[in-house]
Amino acid sequence: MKRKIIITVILSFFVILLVGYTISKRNHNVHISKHQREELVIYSSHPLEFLRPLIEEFESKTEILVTVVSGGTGELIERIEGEQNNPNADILWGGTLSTLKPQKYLFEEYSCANEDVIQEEFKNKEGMFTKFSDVPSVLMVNTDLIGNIKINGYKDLLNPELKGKIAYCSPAVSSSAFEHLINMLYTMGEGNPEEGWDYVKLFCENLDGNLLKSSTEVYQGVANGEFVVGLIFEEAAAALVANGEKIKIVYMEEGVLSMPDCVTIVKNSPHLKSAKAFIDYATGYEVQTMITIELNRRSVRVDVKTPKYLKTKDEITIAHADRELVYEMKKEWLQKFKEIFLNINEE
Amino acid sequence: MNRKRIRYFSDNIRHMFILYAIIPAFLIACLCMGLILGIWQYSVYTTNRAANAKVSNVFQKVVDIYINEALSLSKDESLITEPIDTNKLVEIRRSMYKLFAETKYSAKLYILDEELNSVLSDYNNMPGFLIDNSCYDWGIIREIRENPQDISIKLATEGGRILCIGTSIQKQGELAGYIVVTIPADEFRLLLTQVSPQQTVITDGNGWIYLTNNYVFQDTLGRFVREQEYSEGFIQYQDKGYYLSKSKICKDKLQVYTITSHDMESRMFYTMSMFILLIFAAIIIITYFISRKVAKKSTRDIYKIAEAFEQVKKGNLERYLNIDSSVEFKEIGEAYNLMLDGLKKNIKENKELTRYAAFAQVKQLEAQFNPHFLFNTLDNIRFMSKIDPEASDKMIIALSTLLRYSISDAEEEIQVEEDMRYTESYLTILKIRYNRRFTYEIDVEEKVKKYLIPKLMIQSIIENAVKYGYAEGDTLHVTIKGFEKEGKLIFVCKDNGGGIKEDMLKQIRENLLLPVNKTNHHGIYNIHRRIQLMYHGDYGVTLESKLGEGTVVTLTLPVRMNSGL
Repeated sequence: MKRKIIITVILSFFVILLVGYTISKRNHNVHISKHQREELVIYSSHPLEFLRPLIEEFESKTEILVTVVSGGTGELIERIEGEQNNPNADILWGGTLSTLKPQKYLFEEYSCANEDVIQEEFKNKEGMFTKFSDVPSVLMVNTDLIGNIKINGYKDLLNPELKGKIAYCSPAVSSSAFEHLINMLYTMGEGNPEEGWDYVKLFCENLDGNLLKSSTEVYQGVANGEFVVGLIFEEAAAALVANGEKIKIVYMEEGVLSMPDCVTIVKNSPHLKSAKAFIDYATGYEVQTMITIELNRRSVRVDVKTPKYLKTKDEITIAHADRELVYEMKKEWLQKFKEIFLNINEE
Repeated sequence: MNRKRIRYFSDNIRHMFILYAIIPAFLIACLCMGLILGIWQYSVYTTNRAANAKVSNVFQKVVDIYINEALSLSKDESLITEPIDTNKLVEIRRSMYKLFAETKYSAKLYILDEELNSVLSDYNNMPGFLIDNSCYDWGIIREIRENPQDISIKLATEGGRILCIGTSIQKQGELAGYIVVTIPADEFRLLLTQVSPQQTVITDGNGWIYLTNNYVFQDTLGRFVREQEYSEGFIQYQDKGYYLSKSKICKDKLQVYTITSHDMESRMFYTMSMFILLIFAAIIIITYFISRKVAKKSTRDIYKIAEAFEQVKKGNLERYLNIDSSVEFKEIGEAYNLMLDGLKKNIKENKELTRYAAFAQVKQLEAQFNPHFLFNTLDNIRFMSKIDPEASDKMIIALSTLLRYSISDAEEEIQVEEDMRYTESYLTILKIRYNRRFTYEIDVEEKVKKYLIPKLMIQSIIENAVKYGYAEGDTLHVTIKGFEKEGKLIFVCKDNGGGIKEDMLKQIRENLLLPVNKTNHHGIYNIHRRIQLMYHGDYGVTLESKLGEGTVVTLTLPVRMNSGL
């Protein structure tokens, strides 16, 4: 009898301990229910360093919680296309007009509150593509490695000394690379893109089989010395210049194609109200000023000046492309580029 | 009724072993593990909370001191309206030095007019987020403009994270200037190391990180991971265990998270628990097999004793015990051996007694020499002596021979040959008595004649046949046959008398099986009983008879020879 009592006491002590432990553990994990805050999902091809201050300020100003999915423009468009029936993204931020336009059915029409003060050439004529910044295509050169090689434009990239030292991304995944392809076709074909393919072929030969997978790899590759010269968009190179890296920006003497990148609302966006607020925020005076002062971009607004250390557009040879033709030919040209590149590498 | 199964002693010992040794040990081990776990978790909880409180308190104190400074400066609108003279400048700077001495955390003070121009040309490099006159609606300036009366707290980035404390200078209710105090995040790094290994993350209200020495709970944009923003306590994140506590400071504008990684400890606990479980599993398995053996070994003597008793139960008294494993069992074994000896002695004595009893009975049975016969014979002799003295003389000789033989005590058993001779004397008397009315025939095998049989046994059968044979007819023919069959000595006595009635025959046969005669037919019964007592086993008398045809009495005896011959 005495034994039984002792055993019972021990067992009950044990049980009490276990129960107490579980209860205390549960009490520790008090989950305060999130009070309903608006949310926004942004798919962006901009570098994270670029997004950080803009999103921090947006969250602080509007109390909207932002989720960012970053990736290459091509990749993000594919994802949006895949999610068409059940969209996850509200905003696609980044990607030039020429990359986005062929799939414009994926985007919602919206005219932002700042449309009046947008420069004439960047007005939202299409209905769904609010322009965010002006992105000229440039060459970036590692000044430590360039030595006596002269690089002033596309033709200098055919220099055999640069063979295998050129950083270029696949135009199928990066909008900046696609812009460069258009730029090459128009400027090297002297206005007729079909004439430009001869140059593209020679250029591909000089790539020596290196085709990178994202524009990030391009500017990082040049900055860390893996490549001597890179074909990139102005902002990425300018950010490195501003950071004091040994980088020089070269505006191609044959002509620079300047293409705006866009900020667009995804069709059937789950948080449409927040998305609209974000478009207005992105085109607002403060953000546009910030991107010029702090983030090395060219504003699309009339009231924001180009930053001092970037050449004004007057100082650059500007090239023009037939945008309609570009939209039509996008798939064909990408295919053609792929074939050329693969043929060279098979030989 | 409590039906309790009776188990083996060794099983009992085994169960006892498991119940009172292993189970309590296991329970105690579990209990200890639980206690250790509880104490450990409590210590994690307290150290984490203490670290959180320490960081929060220090941080809050520092921020409060600079907030007070900003607030006291903001009341002085002359800072904006009038140019600052040297005395005032020195005073402001001295006060900042004093605060630094007090807090040990240095901050920078900026006073800006409405157009964001510095009025306190204190520092050569004004941070970009303040001087650029396009930033009215950005960062700390926006916050101050939204709440001009209040203290605004906002994070900025300028070569690292900076905490901005700001308020406005008002002139007649209008916003006239800004006061901003900035504290670089690096100032607090030392504080964070003081509470290590607890890790700290300080964020603004939206989770944007000001200062951290943990990089697990940080997303790519530099925010405290949103999915864990609201959790506290023991959490699992990216498959690792943490204790997370959170406190809000500076009017909920800043949050301090303290993170304790307990992955190592959890793993250790897990391993330890597994180890203990494994050990117990092993112990249980080993016990299962060993305990049986141990119990068997320690109860081996008990089984010896039990088996010995079992043998005694079966009648085997030769099983002695030889135990020397323990004093108690040795004692039992010796006592048992003594008991066995005693038992055997008793049995022997009993046997002897029985033998004496049987012998006495046999003697008594032998003495049943029929007095009627004696009387009849004597009567005959008297009668004969008158008409045929020669025959009477013959009769007297036969009778005296017979009587001498019957009373001689010398041997109980005698050779068939010799017994037959005396039987002849008896037959002679009968022959004279009944004359032609009695005939007989004796046919005994030659080898049988040397065998031993009980004295006067044949005579008894003949006497029995004569007694009942004359019941019907006038003459009687008796045939005696003696032979050996299947290792047994058989005598068959056949007569052609009246036979026995069927129910009588049945009664006599049944009576033969009983140890005490219940009828008054003594002859056959006595013969049978005598044989039984002398030889035991499958010997005795069988009786067959048919009414009016005669009776056959068969004697079955063991083949016995006189060893002396």
